[in-house]
Formats: sequence, C-alpha cells, structure tokens
Amino acid sequence: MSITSPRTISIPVPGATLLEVEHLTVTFPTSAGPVEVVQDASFRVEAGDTLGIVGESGSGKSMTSLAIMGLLPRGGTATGSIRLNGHELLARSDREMRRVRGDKVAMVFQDPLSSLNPYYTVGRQIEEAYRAHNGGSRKNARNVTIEALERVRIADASRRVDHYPHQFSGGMRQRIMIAMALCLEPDLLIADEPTTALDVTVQAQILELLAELQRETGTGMIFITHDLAVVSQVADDVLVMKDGRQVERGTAEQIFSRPQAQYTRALLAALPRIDDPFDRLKGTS
Amino acid sequence: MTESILSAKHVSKVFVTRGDGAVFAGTTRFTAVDDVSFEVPRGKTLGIVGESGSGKSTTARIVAKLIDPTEGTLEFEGDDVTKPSGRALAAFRSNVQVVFQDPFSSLNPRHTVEKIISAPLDYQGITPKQGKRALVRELLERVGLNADHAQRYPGQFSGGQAQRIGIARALAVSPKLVICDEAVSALDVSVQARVINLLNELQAELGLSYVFIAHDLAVVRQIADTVAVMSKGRIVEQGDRDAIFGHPQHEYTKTLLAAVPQINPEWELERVRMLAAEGAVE
Repeated sequence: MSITSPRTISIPVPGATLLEVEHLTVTFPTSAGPVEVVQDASFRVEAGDTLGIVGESGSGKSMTSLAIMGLLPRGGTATGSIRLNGHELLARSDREMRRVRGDKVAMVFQDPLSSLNPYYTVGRQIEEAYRAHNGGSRKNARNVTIEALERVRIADASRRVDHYPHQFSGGMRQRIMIAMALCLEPDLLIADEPTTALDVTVQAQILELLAELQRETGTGMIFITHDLAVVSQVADDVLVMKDGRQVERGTAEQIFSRPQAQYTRALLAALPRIDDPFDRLKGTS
Repeated sequence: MTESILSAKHVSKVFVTRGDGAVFAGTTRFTAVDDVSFEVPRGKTLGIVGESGSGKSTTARIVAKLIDPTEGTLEFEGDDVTKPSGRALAAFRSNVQVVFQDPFSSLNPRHTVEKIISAPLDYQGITPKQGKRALVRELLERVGLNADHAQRYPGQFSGGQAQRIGIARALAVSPKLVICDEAVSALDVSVQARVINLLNELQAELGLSYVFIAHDLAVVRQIADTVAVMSKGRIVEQGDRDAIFGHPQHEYTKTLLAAVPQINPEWELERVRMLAAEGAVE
C-alpha cells in the first residue's frame, strides 16, 4: 500500500467520512497476561465535525487517540482498522506514521508546558514543526508561524514569536499548541483534555477559538475529555467509554437527552451543576 | 443569625522575594491575599471559589495556620488565634484539620492506613478511650471503607478511596472545622459525587463546619451554604449560596458563572422527563 503524498490532500468535504475506526482493540502485555485497554471500539468522524470521547480515568479514551496517532507506549499493540480518508493507518511503519502525524493528524495535549521545549522560543518550535512537514525557507516558516499566532489571537505576534514558553500564561501556551497544530493544516485534530488544566474563563475562550478555527478550516476533530458539560458544548457526536469499552455512541443530542446506557445516565446524574434543571422541572410539574 | 465558628478580619498576606543582588536587585512584594474578611458559620460550609492566582489557597493555608497572615486577625470560637503558640496552637490543631487535593501525595506511601489515620492522635498525644486500633476501624467504616483494610498501604487504594483515607485522618482528632483545599478536584465525577455526599453526611452527623476551597463553581454549589468569590487576592463578593449563584452582583462573579460549561437545558429537561416516564425518578 502506498502512502499518499501530503500534497495530494484534498480540501475536506463537509460530511465526508474522514476517519473510520473499526473494531479497534489495544492490548498491553502485563505479568498477569495481556490486558485489553481498549476493546472493540468502532466510530467515525466526518470532515468538519467533532467527535467527543468522554470517560473517567482508565476508560481507554486517551489510548484510543494514541492508537490513531500511532503513538502507543512501548509494548502496546493495536488491532482492527483505522482508516483516514480511506487509507489504513494500522500496520504502517514508524517512518510512514511520522508523515501522517502533522501532515494529516495533529494533536493538542492537556499540559502545554510539558509539550513545549523550555529552551527554545515558541517561534522556533512552530517553525521547525512546519518545515519538517512542508519544507520551504526559514523566512517562509517564520511568516507562517506569525500568521498562525495571530490566528489564535496572540497579541503582538511578531514580537511574541521570539519569546520562551515560560513567558506565556497557561491559556496562551495552549493557544500556541493550537497554532502549531493548525499551521500544519491537518485533516484531523485530536485534542486530549485541552482545557482541563485551564481556568474556567480561559477554557471558555479556548473552546470558542477551537470552534471558530474549525468552522474556518473544516478540520475534523476528536475532543477527549472527562467533562460531560464541555463535551456537550463542542461535540456533534459523542462516544462514552468505560473500562476500555464503548458504552454508548450517538449524536450529542441523543446522548444528553435520551441516554440509553445505565452508565451514561449515572455519569450525567453525578455531574454537579451550577444551575439545576431538576429544580426547574419540579417547579413546572 | 448563625453563630460563627471562625472569623477572619482584614487578613492580608504579603510575600517578599529577595533579589539575587546582581541582575535582580532589591526586593519585590507580592500581595497574595488583600484585606479579606469572612465568617464560617458553625455547622455549615463556607465555599471559597476563585481561579488560579486568586489567593484562595493562600487563604486556606492562613486559616489552617500553616502560614501566618501579614496583617489582620483570626478568631476561632471567639478566641484570638492569629498568632497562637504552645498549648493554644496545639488546641487549635486538634480543632481544625485539613484535607488536601492530591490524596496520594498527602499520604505516606510507606505507612499503613492505620498508621496514617492515627498520626494526628500521636502528634496530639491523644489516646482514644476505645483504643487506637478500634478508633481507626470506626473511622474507616464512617468514611465508607472496609475496616479490615487498616493494614494496607495507600498504593492499594483508588483515588477516591485514598481521599476517604485523608478524610478519616482529618476526623481522627474529632475536629470542629475541616478545611478542604480542592479536596475533590482530582477525582472522577462519579467518585467526586460520592465524596461530596460523604462530606455532607459527616457534617449532618458530627456537626462539622467546613471551609471548602475549589476552582469548580458547580462543585461548590453542591456543598456550600455561603460562598466567597475571590479574584486577585480580594473577596469580590460573598453571601448566601443561592444569592451568589442565582443573582450575582459583581461583574467578575457574573463572568465566572457565564464561563462554566453547561449542558443544553432542553436536553436536560428531555432526559429528566424520559427518566421520569421510565419510573427511574420519583
């Protein structure tokens, strides 16, 4: 199977299937025998849409995303099928997967500080990522970088590009990670708890920014979070996971208004609220 | 009017950082807590909410007497405890206990649960009348853990269970006030709900008072009777829980509440009606 060159990436067609995952199982060897941390997960992401994956710790939500990226920790193996734009990603060499990452799939993690090198300016880090995938001159990469920083609303981007990660706040660093992901123009962006470490007002800004950039670029997104309220705001479709299994899958409206699985119902019942719809219902009935 | 168990009056905390004498000369002063006053009603919960850098954790540490305030006074049950020493400090420590955010880093991994829970007794030189071992068993049961697990180590428990151990340890000296500093922030939502229920039950049974510090407004709403909202070292607004959440007055409180993600209320109503129709809800 040949890999398509990055130049042939077509402009995403809204609604076309971008990612198709079938019977994905991720296994790790342990002294007590192999453990399946993800069992038989199947889902798809349409271009321009967001799939939210929710679950508590140990549900397998992060392992699912790492399997798609080809970044499973040592010893982990994935079976089943992961097709991006119709091309199978499983069973590719490390070298091929390096091209896929960045060219086609980019990722934003929870903790931007641990994903950025403290010794390099943010500009240099974004430029390097860009040139590794797109080549071109330093000067061009720098222009792309400044433009990307402007898109994520870093004020005074042409000066800030030469600053180091510690000179930015947590929310700004997450904007920088998003800028880095977006200047690679991926077809699919995987955001793993991107707002979990942020203050609630900053979280609101980042969620808005992601939605806006997605509208502009038509990038498909997988948004992984433990926070049901956040996922209800960002996702078109939702996958609920528990102990490595998918418990329920549907549109956001189905999952939040007509959840079928007991686990989904229990999770929603446990969610603390700042405004209680149950009180409101009691008032009306 | 409810009697208050603890009151803070005009409390400030200034941190002074010395320069290195070369590149950074002189000293810088940073006011982490700036003239805050609040009361903790007896048998109730004061929630303190704020974002990072708001000064809420510094406030918690002042109230727990882990650090001294630069200015202002603290009163516990009418006694001045701003700078207690000797016997007065020891008495304060047995009346006021703290539950921290990360259950694992606040529990010694090499000590058994029994040793961890009974440590405050040893510090205070208290010998419970039913015996230490029996008290530990009682406390484990009280926080919903198996009393037979007293000889296990923290690593053998889940995050929610470890936080219950932290709560059991806080209860060992029969405190009147428990300070919960982001005590449920690291827990999964279903575990978080159970720990909040436990805290509420313990309050009802034992008449405990809480200072509950959290960045999560929805969590504070579940547990607090009164709420203080902090921003940049100051309390910008405080009052009854329903007033703060229902009719916030300060711009900052309004912004904070508006930023909390919520599920579409129509979806929530539809779900509640569906569950009601299925008989899952009375």
